[in-house]
Amino acid sequence: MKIDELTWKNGSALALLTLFYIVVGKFALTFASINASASPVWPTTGLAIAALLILGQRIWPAVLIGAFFVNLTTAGNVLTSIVIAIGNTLEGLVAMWLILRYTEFSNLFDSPIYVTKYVVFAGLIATALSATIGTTTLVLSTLAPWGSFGIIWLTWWLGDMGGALVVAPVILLWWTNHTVYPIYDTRWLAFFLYCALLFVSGFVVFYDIMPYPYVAMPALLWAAFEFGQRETAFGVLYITILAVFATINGHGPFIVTPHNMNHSLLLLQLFVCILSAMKLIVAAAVAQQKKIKKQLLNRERYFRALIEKSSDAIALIDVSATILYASPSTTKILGFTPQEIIGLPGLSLVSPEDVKGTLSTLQSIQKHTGATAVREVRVKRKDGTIIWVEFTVQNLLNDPAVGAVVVNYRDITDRKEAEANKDDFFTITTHQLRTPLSTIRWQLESMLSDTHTLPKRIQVKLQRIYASDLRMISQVNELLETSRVVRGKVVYEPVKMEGISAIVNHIDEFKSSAQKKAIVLTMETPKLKRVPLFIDPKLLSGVIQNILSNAIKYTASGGTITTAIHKEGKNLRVTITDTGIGIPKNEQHRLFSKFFRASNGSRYSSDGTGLGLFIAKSYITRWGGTLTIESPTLKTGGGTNVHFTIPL
Amino acid sequence: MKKIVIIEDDTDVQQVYQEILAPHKYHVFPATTGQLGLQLISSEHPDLVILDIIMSESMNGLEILKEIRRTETMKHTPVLIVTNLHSERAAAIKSGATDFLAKADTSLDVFIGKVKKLLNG
Repeated sequence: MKIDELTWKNGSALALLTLFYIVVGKFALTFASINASASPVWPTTGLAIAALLILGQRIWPAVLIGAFFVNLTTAGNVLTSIVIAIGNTLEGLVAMWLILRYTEFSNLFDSPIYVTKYVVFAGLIATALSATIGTTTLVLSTLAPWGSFGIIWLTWWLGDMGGALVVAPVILLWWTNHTVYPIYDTRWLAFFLYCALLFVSGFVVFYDIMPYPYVAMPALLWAAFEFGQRETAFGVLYITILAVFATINGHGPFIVTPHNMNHSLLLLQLFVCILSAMKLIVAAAVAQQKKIKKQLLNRERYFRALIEKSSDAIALIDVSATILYASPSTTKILGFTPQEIIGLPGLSLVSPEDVKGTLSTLQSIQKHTGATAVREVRVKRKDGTIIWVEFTVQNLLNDPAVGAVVVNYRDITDRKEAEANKDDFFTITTHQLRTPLSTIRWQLESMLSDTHTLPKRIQVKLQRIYASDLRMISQVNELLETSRVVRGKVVYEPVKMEGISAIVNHIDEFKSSAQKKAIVLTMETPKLKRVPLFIDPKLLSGVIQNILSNAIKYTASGGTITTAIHKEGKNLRVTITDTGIGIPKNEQHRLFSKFFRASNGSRYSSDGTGLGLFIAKSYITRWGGTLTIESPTLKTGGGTNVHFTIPL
Repeated sequence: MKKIVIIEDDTDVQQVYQEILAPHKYHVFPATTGQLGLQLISSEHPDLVILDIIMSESMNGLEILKEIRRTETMKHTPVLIVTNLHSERAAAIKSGATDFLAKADTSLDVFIGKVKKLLNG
């Protein structure tokens, strides 16, 4: 976090900082007892570190000049003052560099790891640098005796450490978070209690009532949990100030007998450093935990809202289909509250006629984790009414996060009704169309069977009408079937049956129509005598009918149609070849579209809806086979080869 | 002479049946409602019942069929469903029909053949 250029350009900010540094420094030095230049706690270290982190390294001159003046006006000469000032500046800069490099400044006090790094970089390393430079300078310039190097260094180090660990955090934490609770907030009560606790424990410890320094800790520990870093750091500062005052004036647990101020101050410094380091780390750990908890809570709320507000209902069931969880939308769809159905076997809600199908759907997803399946079933609402529901199940039994089968379902009664209406429409329309057509048919058949009483020309006309009538009947059938295919309503009821005889029989049915057109229909004797198939005979017959009637329609008199049946790997392949008009190559890709009739086909015969192949293809796909059509070029006389397969 | 009760609400179609079956010396009893049909069956004890599925009043052919199969005096009568609701074959057989013909797909010869078979069976 760096203040923008504007503030930096404002030289007076720099001057202000320098001034502040000097004032604080001089004040701290009034406590210097060992040596005029070393005080038990050196707050300007903390100030310098905080300022560098907040304002940026550009302000180092302020530290340098400030430290120089403080030293110059205390003891020593220009040279020593400069060197010591350099030491202090370097201390701040080193701390700043290390912190910015190895931690995230924005997260510094919320992460136990970063806080520990802060303690090491700012508290131990940077301060050691300043202590070394400073003590060496003092000794070399004979302002201090060589023999005292150790003690001076130690005091310097611990004093700077105190500044870094006690003062800097307070400044930094207030800088990053200066929200104050609103006046009426109940947290003020807790805060006042905290202050009272601090005051009391401080007093008790440092005014000799209970001279055990650790009595000051509980208040600070409570602050870490109740408030956060900021208030904890404030507490540490308070205790530190109190401790310094008390000890200087001969009170508190650090006063030893026989009286030795140096020793006492050393004990004080150790106490301050350890206390502050510990509190920083503990408060950081607590802060981090709170943050994680909050994130988890938000995440949970988010997903919970998604599930509960979804208009689809969600349920979780176990292996035996017992309901483990039901989302609130259950009430909207089923009328039951979630509590009412948890623990119930899920199948008890399914309408009896759909239980078997539901069970098989559930079984189908058993084997693979993540497998899904969809089904439409009828379920019973709480009030007894039956509604249609579409559910999707997903097997997440082995998923550690879920451990159940997830059921998503929605009410599709409206959709079912619309479908039923469409169904009704098609059924009734077809019926209405067929009624007159069937009447015409029987009347014509009756008339045509009575050939002697009718003049030839009338007979011919009646034949034409009859042919048209049959065509219309077949077209109505095709239209209905197409509508079923398109709406996915084709009923597929496969049975075990013998394939060769069935196919041969269907082909035989066309012998007479082929003969009428003088087309030779031959069947290559199948090498196989019996082939078991599992297929819907209606669909098989429909496909053969379609292909053969096309073959006959588009082949001229005198042509031939040959059929063959072969076993091909895991399939049975039926081939029907004709010497008819063929299909132009550029139109072959559209053969299976609805209403498509090849251009040469429509010219050749006006009869045809273009639906036959569409229906045939969908049937063949339904039973898992393939349909291919080859047509050699028209130039060679055409002809068409139709193959379809049936899986064995 | 064999008796056939035909339950079909369309009077034109009834006419056609009459014309088709009369030459074969069958006595045809037309009924345009299910109620009438059931009455005729119990009074005439026909050898065959021909029944359509869609009837304009509330009782449809399958319900009439079920009623026939429930009634002690009628339940052994052969019932032939002749209808343009071609998709109802399975439902018809399940409800007790002896046989089923998809009308528009059936030629006159096939129809007559079926009637003869059921009357002689």
